[in-house]
Formats: sequence, C-alpha cells, structure tokens
Amino acid sequence: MAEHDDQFPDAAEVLFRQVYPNWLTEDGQPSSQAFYPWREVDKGCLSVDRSTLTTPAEAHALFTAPKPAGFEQASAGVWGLSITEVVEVGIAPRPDRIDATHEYPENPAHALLEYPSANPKGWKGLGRRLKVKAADRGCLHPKDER
Amino acid sequence: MFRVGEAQKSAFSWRHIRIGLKNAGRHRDWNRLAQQSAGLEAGVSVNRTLNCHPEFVLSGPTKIIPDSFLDLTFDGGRFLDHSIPVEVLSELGTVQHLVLRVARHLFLTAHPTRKRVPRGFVDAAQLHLISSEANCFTAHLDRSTEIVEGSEFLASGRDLAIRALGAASTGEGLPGDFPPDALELLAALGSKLDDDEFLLVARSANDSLSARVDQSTRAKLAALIKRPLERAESLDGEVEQMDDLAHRYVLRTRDGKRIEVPFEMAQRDSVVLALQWRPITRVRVSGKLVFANPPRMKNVEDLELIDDERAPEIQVAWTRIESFDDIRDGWFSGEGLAPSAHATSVAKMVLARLLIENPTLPRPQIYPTPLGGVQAEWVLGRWATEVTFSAENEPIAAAATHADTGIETVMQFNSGEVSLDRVSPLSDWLRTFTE
Repeated sequence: MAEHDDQFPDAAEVLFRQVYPNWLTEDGQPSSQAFYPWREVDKGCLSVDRSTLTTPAEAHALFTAPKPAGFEQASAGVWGLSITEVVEVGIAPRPDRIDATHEYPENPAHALLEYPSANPKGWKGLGRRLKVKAADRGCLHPKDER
Repeated sequence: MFRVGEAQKSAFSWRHIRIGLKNAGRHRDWNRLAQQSAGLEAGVSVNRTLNCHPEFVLSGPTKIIPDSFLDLTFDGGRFLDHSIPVEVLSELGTVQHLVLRVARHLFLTAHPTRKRVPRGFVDAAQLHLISSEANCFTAHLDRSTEIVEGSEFLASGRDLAIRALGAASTGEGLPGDFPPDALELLAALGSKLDDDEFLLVARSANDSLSARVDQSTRAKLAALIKRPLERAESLDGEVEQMDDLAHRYVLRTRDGKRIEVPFEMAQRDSVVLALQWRPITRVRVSGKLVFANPPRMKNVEDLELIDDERAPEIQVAWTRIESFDDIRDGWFSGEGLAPSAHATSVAKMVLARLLIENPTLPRPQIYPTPLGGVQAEWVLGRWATEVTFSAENEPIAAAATHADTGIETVMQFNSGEVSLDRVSPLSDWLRTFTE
C-alpha cells in the first residue's frame, strides 16, 4: 500500500489548482507552468486544495479574498487533477493543512504535490503532462466563463 | 446570298470575305462592301469577334483562302480553351517591332548610301489582327497593301526573323545577316509564355517557313546571344530588405529565392508596409524577370499587397504577445521578470513564420515566463509541446512530453538553425507530433 493511500483513500479525489491570470489564454487554456513548482520558495511542492474538503468556488474565493479573510492571491480560475493522475506520473500528494495566523485564515483543505527531488529537471515535463490532464477535465471554476 | 445571325458555323470566315474583297482592290471600304455583299442595310455593322466563327453563313459561290502576312499560333497551357489572356497579346506587338527592325536593317544594308528608311516604310510595317481561329489560338496578321519604296524588305525581314528563331530553337548560330540591334526583340518574343506553352510563328498557315518559340528555345537563344533570359512573371513573396535610395527591394519567394525588384515612388508605401508586416503581408509583383545572377525583376507592371491565409490567426497571436508589454517585473506575487523586448519580437516573428510554413499547426497558447521569456504551447494529440523564447539571445528551447507515456523529447535551436527568416528545423520538429 502506498503512503498516500491512507491520506487520500479516494483515488478519484480531485485536487484543485489555482492558475495565475497571465497563465491563462484569452480562450481559457492554462500554461503548463501552472503545474510545476518553479520558485525557490516552493521547495519542489505545488499548492492544491482537496475536493473532499472544499469546492472549486470556495477554494478560489479563499485564495483570492483580501487578507486576513483570504490569501489575497491572483487566480483566473481553478483546474483539477485526480489523485490517480498525479500519482501515476510520480508525484506524491500530501495533506498540508494551513492554520490561521494573524495574517491569513486557516485552510484545512490545503495539500501539497511533492515533485520527485531526484530529478528537478524533469518537473517541466511533469507540468506538461498534468496540463493535458487538467485541460481534459476543463476549468472547474468559474465554469460560465470557460 | 449571305445571311446574318444564324448560329450555324461556316467554313468561311470574316477574314476570307475581307481578303476576297481586298484582293478585288477595294480594301479601303471593306466593311461597306461586305455589308452590301451580305445584303445588310446601311448602318448595320458586321459582327466580328476574336476567337470565334463569325455569325456569317456563306452560301456564296467561292471559297477564298488567302495567305496572311504572318500567322502566330499560341498553343498549350492557357490557350487550350481557345482563348488568349489579354496580357499575352503584347507578343503581337513584339513581332511587329521585330519585323520592322530586321526589315530596316536589310533595307539600309541594300542601300548603303541611305541613312533612313523611305517615307511610309514604318506605316507599311504596321500589322493588323485580321482574324483568329478557334484551334488553340491562331492570330492571322496582315499588313497594309499600300506599296511604298522598300516595302518588299518587310517580307524579307519577316523571313529572316523566322529563320533566326528557327536557328535558335535548333541550337544553330543565328543567320549572319541578322542585325545585332534586333537581338533584344528576338529574345523578348515569347516572354509571356508559360512553361507548358509555345508559339508557332509562320509565314502563313500552309508555309514551311515557321519557327517554334517556347521557354526552352528562348533559353537557347539567350545563351546564344549571351544575354540573360527574360520572361514575364508574377512573383509572390516577402519584402526582406528595402533600399530606399536605390528604389529597390529584395523579394524572398516562398521557396527561398531572393530577387531584386525595383519600385516606383507610387509603390513605396506598399513596399514599406510589406516590410513592416512580414511575414503575414506579402507582395505580388508582375513584371519581367531577368534570370541573371542574382535574378532581378524589371519593368514592374503591377504590385499588390496580399495577406497570408493565416493572417487573422497570427494577428491574434501577435496581440496576445503585445499584451505582455503591460507586464512589469514582479508580476508573479512579487517574482517574475517582465518579458523582454528580445523575447517578444523573436516570438512574434518565429511563431508567425511557423504558422505560415506549417498550415496544419494550430495557433499556439502563449504565456510569459518568470525569466522574462515567452512560452508557446500546443497540445498535439496527446503530446504537450512547448517552445520557449528566452529573455536574452539564448537558443530557442523546445520540448514535448507524451501525456500518458511520459516519453519526452527536448531540443534546442540556436540562432544559426532558427532565425527570424528560417524556421524549418523547428517546423519540422513540431510536424513530427502532428503527423
């Protein structure tokens, strides 16, 4: 049994990924750059939210709402990847609940996708693969604009 | 009795009637006589059209089949449907000039004390299209029957011109008495012909003195007289460079040939526009192409701006890239460099050329990168492909990953391989994912 099986018993659970506005085309296609960690601060991990604990709309609202009610980040929309999809490309999902601080609200649905540390050069390729899978599923929020 | 207006085709033609009357010595009033002969009332004109049998039905007594001064038969290609493009008719004028030039030379050679041809000689050399035949397209040309001093040299000039054309087609040397100052006209004949067409120049329909002119014989002639071959061409290409002072530009055709083309002031704005908007805006020029090294065009008759079929898609891509001008450093939560001018300009040109040269390649999805570059992505089947243009002058990075199998291909194209004017290696690489 894999480690994630305990933490994510439902392989069909979808992980929500926020896409930065510049990484969305005018016809609603996300960049592969939204699906791999590229910043030092990311430490090889990508933030997502769990569908068993939140909805795409709630996740988007929390992500974009001004502090301290939200995280005051920019997002043009929410795309999703299933547990199966991330695991089969070699990425390990892990729950990463965020507790409230004086600056941010709590986010119990937060999780991280850990990219294989042994091969950081392969992360871009993983991003390309995940982009295709996310695009297959389509934009989860806002639905009416996609 | 002649009847007018019946559709029934006749073995006779308007030419035959005119010539018959002309032979009767009354050519100055042919039309009136023909009308009378046809039983027409005064004021009713006789229908004469090119390339058709006239709506004349002759039940008259005698067939008159005269010789014309010169018959030009255009065959093959565009002439197979029994018509002739108007622009090709200028070949008839070339023939007239050629005959006159050679005849003048022969006259002056025969009269060494004379400096000029006699009065009326030039008028006597005027040729008239008197009829045509609906075979491919045969133009029967006749000249005035007025007798002027030396007019017999016109027939000699015609014959010498035909012999010279014949010699060129067989690769023999030109007749010794052929005048050097007529070489240019000789070489110009047939310049309007396409590769699959030929022109038969004959003294008359039933005469053995004839010569065939096609692009092959014209090339032989050009080699024989040591002049570059010239032919009428319509070229389609990009304005690659422009020399404003010299009033000329370099046209790059789709197959990569570079041709120097002159322009007139009235055409300058169009040339500048084509240069600014390449590769999506091209020019189509018609004129005489000189097969020199390098090839050049002269006598440009027409210049037209044309947009590539994919211009609307490319405009959308360019608008997307131009929107990156509004992005500032720190655009991604305080991180991320604004796309550089180098990245955006290279991306615009290379992507435009990729779409033009690869018609099946869809318009890419385009994004800024945090390192100041521009990323273009395509999902081609199950292949996620991307091309990244860096902020500085680094190689163009290309990568493709199969979404299901994870098979990955990574490429780099340096500026020597892919440039603003050449994208074929990158285009070929992308094509492997669309086939």
